[in-house]
Amino acid sequence: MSHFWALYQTNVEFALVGCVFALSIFVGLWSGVLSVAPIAFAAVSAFAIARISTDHPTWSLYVLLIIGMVFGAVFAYLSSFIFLRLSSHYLALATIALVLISRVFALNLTTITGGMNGVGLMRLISFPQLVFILVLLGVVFQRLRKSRFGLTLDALREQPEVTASLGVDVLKIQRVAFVLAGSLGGLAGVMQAQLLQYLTPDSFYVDLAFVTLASAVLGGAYHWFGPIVGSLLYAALPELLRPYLGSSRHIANGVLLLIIMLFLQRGVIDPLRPLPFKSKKTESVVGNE
Amino acid sequence: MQLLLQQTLNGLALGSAYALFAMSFGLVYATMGVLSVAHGAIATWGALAALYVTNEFGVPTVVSVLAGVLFAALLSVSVDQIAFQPLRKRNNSLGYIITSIGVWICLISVGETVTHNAPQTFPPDFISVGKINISSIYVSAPQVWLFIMGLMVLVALHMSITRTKFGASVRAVGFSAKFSSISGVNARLIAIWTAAIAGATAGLVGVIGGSAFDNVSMALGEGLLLKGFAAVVIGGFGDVRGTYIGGMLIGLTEVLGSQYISSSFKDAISFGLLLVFLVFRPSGIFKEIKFGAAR
Amino acid sequence: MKMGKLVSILALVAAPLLVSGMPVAAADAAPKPPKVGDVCTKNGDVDGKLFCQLKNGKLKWNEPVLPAGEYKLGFEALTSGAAAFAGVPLAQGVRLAVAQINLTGFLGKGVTIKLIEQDSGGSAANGIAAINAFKAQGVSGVVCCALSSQAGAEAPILKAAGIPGIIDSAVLPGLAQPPYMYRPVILLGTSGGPNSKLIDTVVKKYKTKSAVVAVTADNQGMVSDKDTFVESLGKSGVKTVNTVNTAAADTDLSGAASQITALNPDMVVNSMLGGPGTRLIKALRERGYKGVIVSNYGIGDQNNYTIGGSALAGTIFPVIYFPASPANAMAKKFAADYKTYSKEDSSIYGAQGFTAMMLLASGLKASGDGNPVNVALALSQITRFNTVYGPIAFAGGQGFLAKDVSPSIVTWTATGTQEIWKP
Repeated sequence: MSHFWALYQTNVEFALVGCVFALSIFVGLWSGVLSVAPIAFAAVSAFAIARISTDHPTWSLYVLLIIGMVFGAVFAYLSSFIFLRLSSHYLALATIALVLISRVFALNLTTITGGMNGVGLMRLISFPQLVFILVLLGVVFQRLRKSRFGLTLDALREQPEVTASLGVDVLKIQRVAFVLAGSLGGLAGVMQAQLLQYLTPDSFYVDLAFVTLASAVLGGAYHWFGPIVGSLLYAALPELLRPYLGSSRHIANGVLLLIIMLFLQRGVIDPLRPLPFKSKKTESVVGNE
Repeated sequence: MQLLLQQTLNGLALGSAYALFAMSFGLVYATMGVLSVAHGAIATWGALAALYVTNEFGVPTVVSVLAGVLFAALLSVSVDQIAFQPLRKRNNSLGYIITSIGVWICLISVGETVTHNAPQTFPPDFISVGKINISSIYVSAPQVWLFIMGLMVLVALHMSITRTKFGASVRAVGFSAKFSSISGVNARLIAIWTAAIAGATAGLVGVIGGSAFDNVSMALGEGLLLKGFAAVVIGGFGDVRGTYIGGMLIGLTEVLGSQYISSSFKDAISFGLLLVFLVFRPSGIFKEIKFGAAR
Repeated sequence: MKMGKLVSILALVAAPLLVSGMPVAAADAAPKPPKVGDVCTKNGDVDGKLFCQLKNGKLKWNEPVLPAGEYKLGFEALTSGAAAFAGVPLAQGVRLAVAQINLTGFLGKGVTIKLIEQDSGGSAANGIAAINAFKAQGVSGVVCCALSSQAGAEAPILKAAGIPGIIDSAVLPGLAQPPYMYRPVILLGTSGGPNSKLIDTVVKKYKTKSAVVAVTADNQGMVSDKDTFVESLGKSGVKTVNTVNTAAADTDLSGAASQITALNPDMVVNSMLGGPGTRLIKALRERGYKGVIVSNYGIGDQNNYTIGGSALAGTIFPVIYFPASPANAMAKKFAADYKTYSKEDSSIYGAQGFTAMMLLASGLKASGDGNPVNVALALSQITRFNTVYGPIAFAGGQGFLAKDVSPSIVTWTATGTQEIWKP
C-alpha cells in the first residue's frame, strides 16, 4: 500500500487541486453562467503569491491562501461589470477570451511573472492540508446548498425569468456567484502553484480551462460533489490505463467524456437520479429539465 | 511603399485563412448553437488526409485537395452525429461544449500518434499555379488561393443562407429545431448538411493553409481555432460577412502590426482587439439579430 | 453601470502596472561545491572514504569500488507530447548507455544498473510525479529535465530528496546547481562559445557588413542565443540592422520573411526553434533572398529537411556531434552502436541522452556505495569528462567544451545531407 502511495501521491495531490478548480467552474454553472474566468483569476493569484512568498518566506500557508482568494475575488468583482452584462453565448466566449489574454499578460509583464522564463516558489503545503481544505470546501458547499442563497441559485439556473419575476435581483446574485467562483479560482491557483513550485505563462491556459470545465460537467453540474468526482475520475483514468495504452492513454479521457455526456447527460452525480437500492424518493430540487 | 503593399498582401492572405476558418466555425455556432472546440482538429485532419493521398498515390494537386475537403466533411458529419445529434433532442446546450472537448481530445490523440508528433509538410510546388512575382512583390501561390477561396466561400455561403430555401431551413433549424420540424423541415438532415459544409470549409483551409504555412500539424488547427474564434467574436457570428471582415481584420493587424509597431506583441494585438470588442461591442461588427428564443 | 464598467477596466489595466513596482526577491545562494582539498581531513578520513586518501603526505584520488549488486537509476523521459521528436532519441541514447554499462561491467564486477523509465509527456506535473515515484523506489540518481519548465519544477524536489539529477537537454541558462543538478548539455550560445566562433568565421569569409537576426521571442533559450549572436556581430564590426521577433506558435511567417527581404541584409542569423526557423528560411529563399544564412544548431535536425527541402542548402550552423565526420573515437563508436541498437541514425539528441547517463553512471561509480548523497558529492568533484563531443570541463555543474575542442561548422546540402562547410 505504501508503495502504491509513493507512486501515485503526486497524481492524487494534483487531482485534489483539480477538484478545487472544478468547484470554481461549478459555482458559475450553479448560477446559470458558463464561465472559465476563474482560470484567469487563478493565474493572477498564482503569480502574485509566487512573488509574495519569495519576498516574505516566513508568512504562513494560510495567509498566502487567503491572499490568493482575495486577489481572485477582487479581480472577479471588477471584471463582473464587463462580463455579466453579456448574454450567455457571448459571456462564455468572453471568458475564454479572458484566458487567452491572460497568457499574453503573463508573457509580457516580466517583472511579476518572469516572462517566458517563469518564476519559482517554495512549497509550503502538505498532503493533509490539501485534504483538509477540500473537506472544508465540502462542508461550506453543503451548507450553501441548503441555504437560501443556494436555493435561489437553483431557481436561477432552472428558470431565470420566473426567478426574476419573484423579485430576486438576478444580476446581484450572479455577481456574488461570480466573485465566489473567482475566489475559489484564486485559491486553486495558489494551491497549484505550491505543487508545481514553478510557474510559466502556459501554466493556466485554455487547455486547463477546457479540461476543468469538462471535469465539472462530467462529474455532474447539479451537485457540488459532482465536480469533485469528475476531477478525480478524469485524473485517475489515464494513470490507470498507462500500462496498457502508454503514450496514447489520454484518448481515454475523450472517450469518457463522450460516453458520460451521451448516457448520463446530467453527469455522474445527479441529485435527481434515484440511488440504486433506495426507494424512488428524490430530493426536492427546484425545476426540471 | 512597396513594403506596405507587400505586407498588406501578406495580411490579406493570412486574414483569408482566419476568415475561412471563422466562417465555418461560425456557421456551426450560429446555426446549431454548437461551440465546437474540435473544429480546429478537423481542419488539420483534412490536411493530413490530403497529404496522405498525395504521398501514397501521387495524384494531381486538385485531387488531393478534394480528398482532404471530402474527408474533413465526412469527419465533421460523423462528429456531429455521434457527439451532437443525441444532445439535440434534450435541449442541453452545455453538453455540446463538453462532447466537443471529448472529440477534440480524441482527434488530437490519434493525430499525434499518427504523425509521431513531427510536423509534416506538403511536397514543394504542391500548389504552384498562381504565384505572383512582380518586381519585388511576392505572393506565393497558396496565398493567392487562400484569398480567392475566402471570397468564393463568403459569396457562396452568404448567397445560400440568405437567398435559398436551404438557407432558410438552416436558419429555421438554428432558431428552433422543434418548430422548424413542424413546418416540415427535416432538422436532422439540415444538421448533417451544415456540418458537412462547415467541415468541408475547414478542410479546405487546412489543406491550402497547410501548404501556405508549410506546416501540417495539430498546432496548425489549434492556431486557426483560437484566431478564428477571435474573428467570430469580433466580426459577429450571425452574418458571414461580419465573420469574414473579422478574420481579415485580425490577419491584417497581425502582419502590419508586426511590421510597423512591434513583432513581439503580435498575439497581444489580436487578443487585445478581441478584448476591446468584447467590452464595447460584444455583438460584433454586424449585430446578430436575435429573436430571443429560449435555449 | 457605465461608471462601474469604466472603473473596472481602468483598475484591471492599472493593477498589473502598479504591482510591477514590487521589489524583486534575492536569489537563493547556491551551496558551494566541495573541492578535493576541502573534503579531505588531516587524517585522510573522509565521509565514507569516498574521494581521497592521504598517502605520503599527498592527497590522492581514490578509485572507489562499488559493491556488487543492482543499482536503480531513474529516467524521466519525454517520449510523448509535442517534443517527443527530441525525447525519443534522447531515450534511445540513455537506454543504449545502460545496456553498454551492464554489458561491459563499466561500474565494476557484478554491478548492474536497473533503469526505471517513466514518461512525463513534457508536463511539469507528470515530471514531479515521476521524480517522486523514483524517490519511493530508492534510486541513486536521476536523468531528467528535457524541457526547461520541467527542470524548474523538478529541481526543488530532487534537492529536498537529496537525489542528484542530470539535465539531459534543457538549455535555459542557470539550471545547473551543484551538488544536486548537473548539466552536461553544451550550451552553444554562451558568450565566446561555438555560436560566437561561427559568426567570426563566416563574417571573415564573406566580409559581411549588415545582418538581421530572427528570433523565437517567447523561448528563453533562443533569446539568449540571439543575444550572443548580436554581441559577436558587433565585435566583428557587423551592423545588426534589425531583430525580427516571432513566436513559437506562429503559423504564418510570410510577414517576417517579407520584412527581412525588404531590408536585404548581407547575412540573416536564424535564432529560432528548428521547425519555425526552417519555414522562415524557406520563405526567405522563395522571396529571392540571396544572402548568407547562419543558424543555431536546431536547424540540423533531419526532420527539418522534410519541411524545408533544398531551400535549406547552404545554411551554415555549428554542431558538436556530427555522425558523418566523428570528432573522436568515442563518437565513432557511439554512432555505430546507436545505429545497431536503435536501427536509426544518431543525432545530437541521442548523444545528449547517452552523455547524461554516462555522467550519472560515473558519479555512481565514484560514490562507492550508491547512496544518492554520495553520488551527488562525487558528481560535484568531476572537473573533466570524456564524451562523444570530446573532453568537456565542468564548472559550477555546467559542462563546457574543453578549450582545445572546436565544434564542427557544417552546412546542409540540396540533397538533404550535411557536410563540413568549406569556406
